[in-house]
Amino acid sequence: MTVQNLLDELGYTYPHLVVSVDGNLVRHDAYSETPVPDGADVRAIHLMAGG
Amino acid sequence: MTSHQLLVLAEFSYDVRQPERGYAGQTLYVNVGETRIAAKSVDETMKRTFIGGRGFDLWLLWQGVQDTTRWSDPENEIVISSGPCGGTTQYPGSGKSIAATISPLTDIVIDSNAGGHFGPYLKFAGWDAIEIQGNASGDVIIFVNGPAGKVQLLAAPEDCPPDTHQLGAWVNERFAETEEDRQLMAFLSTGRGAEHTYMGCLNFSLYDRKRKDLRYKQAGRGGIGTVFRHKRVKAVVVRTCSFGGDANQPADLERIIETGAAMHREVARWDAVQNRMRHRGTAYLVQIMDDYDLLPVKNFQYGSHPDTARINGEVWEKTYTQNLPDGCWYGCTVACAHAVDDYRVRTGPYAGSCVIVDGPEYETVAGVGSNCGIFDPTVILEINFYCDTYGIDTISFGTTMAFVMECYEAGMLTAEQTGGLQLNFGNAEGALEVLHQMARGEGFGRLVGKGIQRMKDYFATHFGADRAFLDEIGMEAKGLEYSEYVTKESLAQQGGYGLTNKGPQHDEAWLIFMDQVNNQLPTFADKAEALHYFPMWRTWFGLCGFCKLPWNDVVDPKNAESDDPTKIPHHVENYVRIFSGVTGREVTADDLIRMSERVYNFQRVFNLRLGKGLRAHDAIPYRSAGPVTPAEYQSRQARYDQQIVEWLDLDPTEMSLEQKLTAHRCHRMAQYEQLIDAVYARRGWTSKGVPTPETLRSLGIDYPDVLAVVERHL
Amino acid sequence: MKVLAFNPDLCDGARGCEIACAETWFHVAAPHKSSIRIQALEDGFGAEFCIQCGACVPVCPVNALVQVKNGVVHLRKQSCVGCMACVGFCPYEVMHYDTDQAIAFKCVACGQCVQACPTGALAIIEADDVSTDLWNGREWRHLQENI
Ligand code: SF4
Ligand code: SF4
Repeated sequence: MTVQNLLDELGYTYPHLVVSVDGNLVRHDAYSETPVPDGADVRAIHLMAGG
Repeated sequence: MTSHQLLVLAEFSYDVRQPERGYAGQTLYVNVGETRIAAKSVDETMKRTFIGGRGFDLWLLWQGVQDTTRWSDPENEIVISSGPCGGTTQYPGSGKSIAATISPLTDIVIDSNAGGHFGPYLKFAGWDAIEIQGNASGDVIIFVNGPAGKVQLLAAPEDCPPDTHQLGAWVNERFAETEEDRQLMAFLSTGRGAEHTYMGCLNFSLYDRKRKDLRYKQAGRGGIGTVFRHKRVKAVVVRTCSFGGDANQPADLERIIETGAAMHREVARWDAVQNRMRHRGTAYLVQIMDDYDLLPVKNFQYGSHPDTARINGEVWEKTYTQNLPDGCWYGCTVACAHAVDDYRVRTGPYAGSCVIVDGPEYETVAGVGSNCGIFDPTVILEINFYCDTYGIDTISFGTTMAFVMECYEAGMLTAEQTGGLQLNFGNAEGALEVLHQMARGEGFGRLVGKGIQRMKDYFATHFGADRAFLDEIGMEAKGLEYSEYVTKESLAQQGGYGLTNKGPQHDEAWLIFMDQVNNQLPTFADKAEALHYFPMWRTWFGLCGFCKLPWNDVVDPKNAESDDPTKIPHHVENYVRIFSGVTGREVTADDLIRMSERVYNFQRVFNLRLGKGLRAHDAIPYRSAGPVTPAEYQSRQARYDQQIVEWLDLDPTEMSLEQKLTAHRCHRMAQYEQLIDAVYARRGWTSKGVPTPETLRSLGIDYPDVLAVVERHL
Repeated sequence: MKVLAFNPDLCDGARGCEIACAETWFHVAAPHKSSIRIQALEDGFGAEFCIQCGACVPVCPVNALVQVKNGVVHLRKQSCVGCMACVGFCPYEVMHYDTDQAIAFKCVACGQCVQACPTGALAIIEADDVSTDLWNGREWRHLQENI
């Protein structure tokens, strides 16, 4: 599974995300190439916009 | 006929000074009732304490009104100011104006911002703010003629059209002789809807040099347009001398240009792959909000709908004219101010004409669209056009219409009472008919135009509707209709709406992602800190003439590596540089927050002075905190049941739906009260919501008349 | 269209072109006011200047940028409000700004730098497609092969 697969699964369509896998930041253009190992700590922080 | 042939009621000559370090150094006072015009000087203390924009508005208004002043009284004022950085062309979003008045909807001060050229042009014509007081006996036009150094109060002739899009053409013809005149002129106006409703907006013009036509941006909220027409003002026209990129005569132009150019590069690089503001404007949000269950559907009952794809950003990208520099002020490369050209009007007095429709923006699409169960983009355009030209706030209209539709479906309102209109959700023709009635001040529309708070009273007294139910589903607080986000699952954003100065508008704080999606605000203290920092940060834009959008709607991903990505520190630094660069005051990011705290607390005290501003007035309708109806509960049953287990340690399988609804209500409302305690403490207010004298002292606004107001409530 | 072209093989790095440009348009011998910029590279010199692609034209909110018949994009100083949108949106970063007058400026293929170059490394040419090949000598060679 890649970061992009995971985001799709979660329905995270928002473009301003700060994603990290086990504490390492993942660049937005590397979501599709970055694997998510089993049990990894993945965080996807949504920045505010809109409003 | 030109402007020279209009009857002059009063005239005032002045020395036009080019702004220095962002300030013209004087404000313009026009009393339309007493036909009197005067200049007031702006001193260093006023600049330091109130900065400009909303700060200047409040300070001038405070001195103009009494404790008992209501919206329609002659001493009420409309004050408009941009701010020291307003009119900067190099940084995106630096041309906003803020208008303030005592609102017919809330009876307290409303402030509302707008793009367009008026605020910067007013400053370039020599004035940091305009203050309009008095009620005229006949229609008037105020003409600020910068090149001539003259301000005139003119009688508006009979042939002056009633609605903004036609009035604009009329003003162009009378006040501008050449193409250059048109480019250097901006004006304020509204339409007949503002005369007959309490939700009148004020239209700020901009002359679009590519389209060679007028466009309008709205200071929509709180009925400022209503006050404008009540004063019998038809238009405020300003003409400025030609200007360049140094019109503010900033202290350090180089710093501003460098910062601006770098920001333009950031926009050029990232917007296309992020929100596509340059293509979709704020309408990009429609789909995002739906995806996250936050788009108001059918009066905020639900957060998404299968038909959203018919009105989402992709659709608007195809509908708006593309490839134009659609900034609402020069140099805004975020350029969200899109428009639909050659729209053929289908209903009402302008049926058949071909017009430009400004927007629709997110709030309009969500308000008059999904929230009313309407998913037809052409209907949204039609309503948007009429709201703007009639001078009716699209947000209040959308939220009010949604309320009416739910009342109708719930049987609180019958076709007999609506004059035969079957106002079910999704009835686009019905909604349009109500809008036309509102503009004419006739029929059921006359009542709708008074807003939700007045309608609740009326429905309960005259139609025997269930008051408690109306209070729960009527999405207003302090008398102002909610803007368009579903807050049920974000306690912090319930505060972001409820704990505002002017009423539930999201421009103070938008914390839903931080709170609900990211879970970054787990404790009350965290939420309170966010409900301090973000309202202060966002208030600051309105002191200086900035737009909030370029702060966080396009962001270089390097931001992810910063200490606090939610604040976007590298953009905060940009603002520090621009403010220092314009005014010559070397400030820090903390100083900016300090500036806002002063103005924010002053506004809270202003509310107290006008008889509100207490804890009771920070209450919110339960619809914004949790599910009101069984259908609403069932739409998110799994989530709500789960919460009963987690939050209350109860077993939902052993509870009736009624019991579950009550359990949620008790818990959620108690949470909101706890949130209030935490936020008040963080803001330095008593548990009643009153800024303490120590707070006011530490901010340097402990003036005797300010202290006297709070002392009454301690 | 009419456009400036550079041949790195002939450049000696004396940067007389920059001075000539700044003197022509700003009356100062200041390289940061030149529309052509010469850089020292590992194996010689490179030049960067406007290739008249026209991408800036629709970005300008006041119609100060106009592409005239011969393809050259002109910047009308009197109209410019100094917003620097064009600076940020120039794909090649060759739109420059002047912080004294708060205006943008660019190469208009006037040819003053061509006159000033003692080694003949610059020329005003006619080109159908424009690209950064105008900077690296490829377009120059291409032209010579076709003659
Ligand atoms: S981002 Fe949009 S609203 Fe803000 S200044 Fe730019 S064009 Fe105007
Ligand atoms: S800097 Fe001047 S030429 Fe460039 S986009 Fe702005 S106004 Fe137009």
